[in-house]
Amino acid sequence: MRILLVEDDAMIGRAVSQALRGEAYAVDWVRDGEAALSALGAMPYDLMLLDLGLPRRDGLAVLKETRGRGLELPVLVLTARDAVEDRVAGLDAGADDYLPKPFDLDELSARVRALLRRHAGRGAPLLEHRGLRLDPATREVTRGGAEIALTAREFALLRALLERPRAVLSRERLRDKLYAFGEEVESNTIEVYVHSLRRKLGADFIVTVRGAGYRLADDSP
Amino acid sequence: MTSIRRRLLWRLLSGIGALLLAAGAAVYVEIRDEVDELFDAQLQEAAHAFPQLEPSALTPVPGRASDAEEDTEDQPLRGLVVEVRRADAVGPVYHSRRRALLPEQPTPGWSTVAIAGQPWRVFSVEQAGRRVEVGQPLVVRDEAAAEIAAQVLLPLAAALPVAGALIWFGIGRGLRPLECTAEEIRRRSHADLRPLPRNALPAELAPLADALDELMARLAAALAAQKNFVADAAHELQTPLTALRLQAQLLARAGTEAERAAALGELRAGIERGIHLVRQLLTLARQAPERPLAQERVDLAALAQEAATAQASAAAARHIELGVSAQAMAAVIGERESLRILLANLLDNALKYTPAGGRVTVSVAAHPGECTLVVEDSGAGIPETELARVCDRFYRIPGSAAPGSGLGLAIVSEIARRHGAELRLARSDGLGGLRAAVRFPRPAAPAAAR
Repeated sequence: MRILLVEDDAMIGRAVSQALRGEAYAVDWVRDGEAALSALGAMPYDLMLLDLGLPRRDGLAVLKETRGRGLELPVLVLTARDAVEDRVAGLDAGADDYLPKPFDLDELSARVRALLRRHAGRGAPLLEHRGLRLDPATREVTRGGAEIALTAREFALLRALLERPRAVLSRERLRDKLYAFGEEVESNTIEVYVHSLRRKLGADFIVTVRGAGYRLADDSP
Repeated sequence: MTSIRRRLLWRLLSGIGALLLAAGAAVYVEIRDEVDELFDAQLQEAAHAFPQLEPSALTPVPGRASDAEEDTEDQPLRGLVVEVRRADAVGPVYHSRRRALLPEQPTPGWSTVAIAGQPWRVFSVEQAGRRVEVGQPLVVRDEAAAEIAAQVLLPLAAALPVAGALIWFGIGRGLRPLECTAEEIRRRSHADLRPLPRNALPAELAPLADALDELMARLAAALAAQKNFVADAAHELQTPLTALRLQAQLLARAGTEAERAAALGELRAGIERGIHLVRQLLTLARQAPERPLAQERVDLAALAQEAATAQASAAAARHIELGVSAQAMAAVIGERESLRILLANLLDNALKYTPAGGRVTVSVAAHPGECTLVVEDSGAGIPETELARVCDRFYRIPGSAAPGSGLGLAIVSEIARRHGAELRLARSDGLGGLRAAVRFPRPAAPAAAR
């Protein structure tokens, strides 16, 4: 899952991106409205965390422009402007949720998960496939009650596949979901993680679609 | 306290009273003329109508009842006095009173003579060898005229209290809109600063209402500015507090010792930022325009040295060359502590936005009539388009990397303003960064804080 964080305050930006990285999200952090719009043009994000009081281009303007471009990613507005009319204006401009500052990291994480879940069209908080359960909140993966230990990247890759169980995801798409800008990526890195996941979950859990990418195996084993 | 009602009442009543008196005097003069004509005619008629009797038949008629009365010295004579004399003799052959009173050699026709200290009107006519004189004291005429004048004027004077009452209530009624307006103001809450309603207000009160409205508008603006400042301040505090909360949570989540140390460092920086912001807010609040400004003699040169010394280690840590060139005797009148803060903020700004290895200079110069304090740096400077806004409270240049409260230059410009000094920001020709110049008037006293 790749998240665009738009926040002009250095301390808040650092803290939020560090916290989200700790939850196996790839986070790109930009500090003004123009940078946010160019990032949105360059990369398909799964979610945007948007501060409203931004330099160069106001948060609401960024939001309107985003929706104007037809981008449907979920947007969570983070702001100190918490008057009702501000919230209404934010939601009407296309925000999916509103979190007033000062917010709590746990609540932020929960809202991010809820938005991603809702956007994927799921109601249940747990991701399940062929007896495997992934809990995005606790980051636990279990099968038949037994916990399977995964690294953060393996978890992120598995979560990306489980989010859209029938879709074929290209290597590039997966790489974008795992790595933020500025993070070192080896060319065969996705293959390496697919390989280690197959080792932990069973060789037939992830199917290679030649020339296209990867997808989960069909529901019935 | 003076009362419009009482004052108007007295003015109007005394005016009316004076008018009545003047009218009375005019009426009296007019009537007195009429009375003269009337009584003269009476005298003349009496003289001509005196019976054509033999002088010998005429004898004094003493002892009449009225004579006893008339002879008392202090009771002036009222009626007509008639005396008849032979044309060739002095003594009267007839006198209507017990004693002869009228002149023995009268002027024929009309004359006014003094008899027993009183002016008399006398008419004398000769007929058939005798002279008939008819006289009357003028006081009779005066009294008659006064009586008539009084009869005309008294009812008017009696109307004076009625007029007073009418005026009293009329003014009260006229002033009622004032009371209504007062009541309207009394009923208002402290936050209700709308203009006063004008529908019931008489034109005479409009200037007062205008002045009140203007005062209320100024008050509303000041209140709004205060409210905005508090709202802005609260809003600005949200950011460091949010950061603190997040940093504390990250510290709690830290798994390794290295993570914990990093999180703790961030948390400490966050706390410092919060403290700095609160301090700057307090400093700004202390520069409130209504607070009186101390009037000390402050040596800017010494103050600049002091400020540079205080920041020397911060400059050295980033290899910034911090130079001071200060002319002696650059004294201004003002508040030492505020001027110290002004210098500290300018220097702090310069050091913050100057990259490591750069230069910052402070110079103080005295000119006739003014003192200038200039802080220059070799940093990136402030873009032309931002110069006008950087002194606004909480304004930070978009994308500026250095942490700050957005209050530093606002504080500087406020202190400068209170000292009657002018703050000018521009590009530094010498160093390429920002040039902040403050021009103080000297040695004239600074503009009093309004």
